[in-house]
Amino acid sequence: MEPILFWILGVISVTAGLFAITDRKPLRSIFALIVLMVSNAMTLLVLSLPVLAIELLVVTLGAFSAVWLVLRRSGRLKLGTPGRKRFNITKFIAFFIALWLCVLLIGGVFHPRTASHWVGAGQNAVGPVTGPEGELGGAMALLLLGGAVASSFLVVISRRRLRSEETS
Amino acid sequence: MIPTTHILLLALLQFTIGLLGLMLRRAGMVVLVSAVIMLNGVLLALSAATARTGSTLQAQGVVVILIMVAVALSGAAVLYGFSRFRRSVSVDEHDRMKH
Repeated sequence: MEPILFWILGVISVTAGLFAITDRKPLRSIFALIVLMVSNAMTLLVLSLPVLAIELLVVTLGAFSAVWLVLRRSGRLKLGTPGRKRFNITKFIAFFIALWLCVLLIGGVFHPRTASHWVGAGQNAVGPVTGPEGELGGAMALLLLGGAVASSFLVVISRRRLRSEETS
Repeated sequence: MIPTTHILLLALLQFTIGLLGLMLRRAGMVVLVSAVIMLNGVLLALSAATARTGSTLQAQGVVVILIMVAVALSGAAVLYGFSRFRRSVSVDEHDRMKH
């Protein structure tokens, strides 16, 4: 279960990284970087490091929201004409990021782990191998992955609706 | 069971992608994003070592995250200053330390 999740998250993060450095629009690069960070946080969760995962999400997403605000204030990023009712992508993304944070925090508080789960796994292996802890971590990462897929789907739908509104 | 080499391979991929973006792109924001991607790779490699040896290296991962935040915020401040004086955020146009 965990190797499959690890490779799925790895493919997502590498794809998001390639998208971040190849896209022409800086705003899309930032979105791709957020996807990369969330997938990295889920990878850390699979590796039984919930503290680093929570900190990566909270601190870095906070920093990038500050960057976002600075660029919006400077007038570089114009995401729509004011006064016109539009489908708000930012609210959707913020809602799902908040949902992930809540799940991560609840998992970190109610499921504490000790170092003995990792050390006994063998010489050339990391992460929990067997037992209920490993299954719970895998299920939690699967839940987060489902949230990521659902929110990506919603973002794609909202982008299409925006384009159709603009063309009409 | 995830082998350490696989995690290090993923970290190396992320670091390489960030390095490519840092060398090839001109837009200031994308250069900043590339630097953060490189730091993400470093964090992943460090977390692999953390997960293998125990929780002693976890504090260093926290330090890497803080460095990532410092890079993002300082880069954003520099870009904001550039955009105020020259109305451009392309790094090729900012080759002098005066305006």
